[in-house]
Amino acid sequence: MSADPRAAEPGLWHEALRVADKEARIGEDAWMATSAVAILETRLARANAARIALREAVRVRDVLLAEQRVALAERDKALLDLGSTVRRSPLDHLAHLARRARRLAGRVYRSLRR
Amino acid sequence: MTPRISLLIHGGERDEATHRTIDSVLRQDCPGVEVVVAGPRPTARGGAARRLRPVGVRVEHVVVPPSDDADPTGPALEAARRAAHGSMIGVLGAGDELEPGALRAVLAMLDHQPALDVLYTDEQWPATGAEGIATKPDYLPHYLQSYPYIGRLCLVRAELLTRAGGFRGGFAGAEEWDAQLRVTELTTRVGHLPVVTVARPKGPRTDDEAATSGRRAVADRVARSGRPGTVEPTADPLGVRLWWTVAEPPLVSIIIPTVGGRRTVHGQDSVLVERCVDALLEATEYQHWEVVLVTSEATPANLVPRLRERLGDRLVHAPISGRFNFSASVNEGARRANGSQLLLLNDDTEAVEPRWLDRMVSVGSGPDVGVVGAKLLFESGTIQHVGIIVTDGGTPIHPLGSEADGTGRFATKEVDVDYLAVTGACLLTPADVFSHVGGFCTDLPLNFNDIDYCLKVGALGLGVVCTPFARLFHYESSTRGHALDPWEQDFLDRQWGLRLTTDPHVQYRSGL
Repeated sequence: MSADPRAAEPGLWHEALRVADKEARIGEDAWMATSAVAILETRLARANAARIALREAVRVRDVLLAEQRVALAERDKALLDLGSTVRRSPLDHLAHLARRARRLAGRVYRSLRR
Repeated sequence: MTPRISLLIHGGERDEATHRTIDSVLRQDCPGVEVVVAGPRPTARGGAARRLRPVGVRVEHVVVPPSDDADPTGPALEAARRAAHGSMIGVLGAGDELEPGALRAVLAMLDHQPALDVLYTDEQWPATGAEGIATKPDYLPHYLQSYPYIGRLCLVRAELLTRAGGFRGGFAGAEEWDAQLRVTELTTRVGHLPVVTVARPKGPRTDDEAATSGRRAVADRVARSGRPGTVEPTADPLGVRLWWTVAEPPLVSIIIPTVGGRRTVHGQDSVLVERCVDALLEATEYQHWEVVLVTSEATPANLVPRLRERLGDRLVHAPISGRFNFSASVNEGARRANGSQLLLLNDDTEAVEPRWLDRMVSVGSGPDVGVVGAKLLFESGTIQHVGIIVTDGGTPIHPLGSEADGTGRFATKEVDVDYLAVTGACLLTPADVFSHVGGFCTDLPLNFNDIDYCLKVGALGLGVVCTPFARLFHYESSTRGHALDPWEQDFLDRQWGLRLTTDPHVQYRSGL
């Protein structure tokens, strides 16, 4: 529709606008009918791509957390080892020597008896 | 196997940074990807290449001979592009790191939309708070020629990039923007994946050299268009203001519906429409205009003679009877208008920037533009309007409303940006477009008639652009209440439900 505002009578002009407005809405209805599925599919594809990225981010996070857990376990073991070394008293050391001496003596005795 | 994606890196001398980037590609564990590193010499750490091969990522090094260019990035990227084998090509800076899952997400999108010629994503860099998270809108052509918002990661169909001329030297800091401008002249199949796929070690360059290069890239676009125009800098260093030259300035019919309301503005008791007209006479450089004053039965009888004294032959009086209906007033004003351009202007506005109307006419002179809006400020100077977006719930809102005036994040308060709609308080539209879509809908007497109109124009494939350089005060709601009726929202949902979901400004929304 093409309405020339300078030529139209008030009634004709406003009626022409109403007709054009209606045509525009019919056009929009047609567009909606043909585009709805494609628009929704695109939104779905975006959501799916975002999901893939998020899942990968979670996977990387899980790998990092697993590595962190291993590192923590190694650290805890090292701390325990270190702690047991530090806590060992001089008497513990003498007892250890005594046990070794007893084991050695036993070994010598057994070899002599054979 | 031919790689689907080639990622180009200008290695320069910063090998460690380059290898950080390569390692991030390796971590993607994504086959069908190729990395092409262009630099003055092979990268020092050959191990990365060996480690890349088992996971199906091909790495190639292109030695770029020394050139006369002060910044070798453009020639280096071009050399890398020529060596690339992928069907889609993207650029990473040395030190950029791909986020986990980035390439798989991008490939999923390309699988769904194989016809896309350009696909870009969101990105981030270190900054205070969320300042460095660059979530972007969908493709906005007028925004792109005003600001390099596409950034990285941006994949372009290789064949199209070749046709566009590849990467060019002499655009230091704006090589990618220059290429994006040329590519988008050849296609409109541009997609956006609102997922952060790249972390840069720092934000894009904003130095003088990059700003100058950006302006030159836009000026080149103007030259290629065959239309005369000029570019000028904006307050944001990366922004560009493009002025299309209007050889024969059109007559602009400024349609002002008024009931002659008064209000105290800036400490002065004023008749608002007189203030508005005074600003047209005294603070507007554009001279080819007339005022179509649409009065109602409630308008004081002495108002028109007083305005006639000011405006003389420039005043067209369009009285209208019956209950106040803004849409009917505008339509009647359009009937009486003599100009080829119609400017709808609320009577409670007042021009601030003298070149506001030149700007709106310049932006509206493009054949692809159907509506131009302006930046409107409250009396306090805070922003009332720089475009309208639609929320996920389908409600139109002013996204930057009540914020302080300024350049805004990514220059959104400073440069031209495309929107679904702009406010009818100051709206320029060609008269033939107005009549073609049936003007303003009289079923919406107060609210949303401007949005409805913009959506009708947008449905024709014409752009709706807000140009913030055109600045006016808007002493809003001084003439009527602000309340919305539920049926008005229902009308929008019923008429435009699907189109409202396509609002391109996903960065203000959920991102999906």
